[in-house]
Amino acid sequence: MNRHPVSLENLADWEDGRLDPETRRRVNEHLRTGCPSCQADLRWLRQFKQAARVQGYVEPPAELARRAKALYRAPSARAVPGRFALGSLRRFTPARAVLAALLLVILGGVLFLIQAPTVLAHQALVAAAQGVVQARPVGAPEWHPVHVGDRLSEGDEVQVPDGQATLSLFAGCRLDLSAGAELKIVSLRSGLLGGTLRVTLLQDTGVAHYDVPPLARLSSFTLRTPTGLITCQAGRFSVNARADETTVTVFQGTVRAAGGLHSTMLSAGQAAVIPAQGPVQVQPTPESPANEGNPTSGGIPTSTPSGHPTSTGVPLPTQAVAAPAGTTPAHTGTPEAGPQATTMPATEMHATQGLPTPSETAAMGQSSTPQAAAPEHTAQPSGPSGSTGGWQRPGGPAD
Amino acid sequence: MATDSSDSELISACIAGQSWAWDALVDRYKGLIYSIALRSGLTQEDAADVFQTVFAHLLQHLTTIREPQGLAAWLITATRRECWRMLRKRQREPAASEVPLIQTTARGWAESVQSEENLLAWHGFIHEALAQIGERCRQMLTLLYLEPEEPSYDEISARLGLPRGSIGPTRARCLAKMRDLLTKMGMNVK
Repeated sequence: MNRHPVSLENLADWEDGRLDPETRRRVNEHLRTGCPSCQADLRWLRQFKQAARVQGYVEPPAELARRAKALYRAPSARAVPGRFALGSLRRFTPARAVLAALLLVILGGVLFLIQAPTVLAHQALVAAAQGVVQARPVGAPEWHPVHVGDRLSEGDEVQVPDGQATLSLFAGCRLDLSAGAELKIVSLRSGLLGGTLRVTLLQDTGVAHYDVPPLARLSSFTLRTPTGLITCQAGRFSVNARADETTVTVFQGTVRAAGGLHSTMLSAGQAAVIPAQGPVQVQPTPESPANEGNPTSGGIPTSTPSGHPTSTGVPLPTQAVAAPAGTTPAHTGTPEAGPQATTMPATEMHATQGLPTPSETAAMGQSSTPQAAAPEHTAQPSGPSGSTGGWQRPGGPAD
Repeated sequence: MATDSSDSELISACIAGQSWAWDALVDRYKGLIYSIALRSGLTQEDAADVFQTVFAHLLQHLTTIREPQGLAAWLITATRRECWRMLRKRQREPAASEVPLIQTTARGWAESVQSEENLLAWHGFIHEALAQIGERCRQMLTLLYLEPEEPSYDEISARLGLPRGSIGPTRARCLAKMRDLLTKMGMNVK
């Protein structure tokens, strides 16, 4: 490594005029090259010398400095705006620690209330009712008739002895109960600001179609049946609930079906049976949608069809939604719908339909009022195999 | 209290509740503020008031000083403002004798005052560095640079008991140490 030809010692002596002539000549020669580090050293030396000898630097009396230092510890200084950080941090006593912890707990509680679905949510609205639809408010001994526009609350039960009904929950959740269905609203909660939702329903019996729009991360939609537990974050599915087994058919999205210790994820086009005992039995539904033969078998036009986000423009993939796994929806007319459908007696197959989509509603035209459509959809019980989609009371031949 | 911490570090420590850092800031700038006050023509009593006011002001604004590395300039400005207020309060104008002694540039009084005050700030830092630099260097640099008259190497040799030949290397070593300390404290030459 080459040593710099001019040292700091040389430069300091050069600046002070203390160099012998020979060294001075050598330093001068080097400085004429414009050496940047020497220039920087000289600038610093000159600043240092000038500052060291500056006139008028007077140290204050010690008492003055002591008072200035005491400012930091003076209580009055804490009250001055801008000192808050100093005062609070420097005097972090146990009492303040407890206060801070308390504030944190309160803050956490508020955040929990905002986020967690702990607040009673809006009531379920009866969006459509046809035939005999009854409800039993929580704690009430008797059933009473339900009409369109009525509201059901957490704890209420609803049954459809004959006919069908559509309930509209908050955030676009809807469910369509067919004749024979019985349902209890176990939980209907939301976060303080409505960002998260918790829906828990108990479907004792019958067939129901569910439509769950995409839910927020902490939200949940849970359906209990006598034999299983069904959860969904986004999807459309039907459930046929019986005392001995539950059948789930998924049309859109994904649904988790669980029974006992077993659970499985079902995607669109799959069906599964949740028996009272044993694992969940998954069986794919036929590939072709079942609505080819009867695309507008319709449902009950609801009071707010356009406000139904998940059904916009998407016709139901199949109209026979409650067919048990292994069977073919009743009105497909495919050969599989015949005697091969052996999992469940054909007489137990129930054809229903989901909520009408806007296109379906439009296809029905102005004349497709509930009343006009009703006779078609409340047809006589279908035949043993593959009759067209009509409503059939469960609990009939099967029970 | 002498420290080689920079102003930024001291301010952060103050905000974090470290009282030693405030003491260090007072020690670092007490001479600068008091000197400016006296040079403004204030009496010792008024200079003491200005001194206290400026430090109280600094304490209030510790958390809002945007450029902690420019604290010296901030204090110079604050002190000059307080001096001006005090002079107005006393209803007197600065006499000719109170105009700063050295006017090194022709760019006007304000600029010369500013440059003088910068030198005063440097002077305070040099004092603080001398307190940390070690006895031998403190004696050497004080004799060479802080005494009013520059002694010869022979005089230094006699007063410090050093061989004359070792004075040059020792001085260079002490200057390098001084430069390091000042740089750590944030006093650089551009």
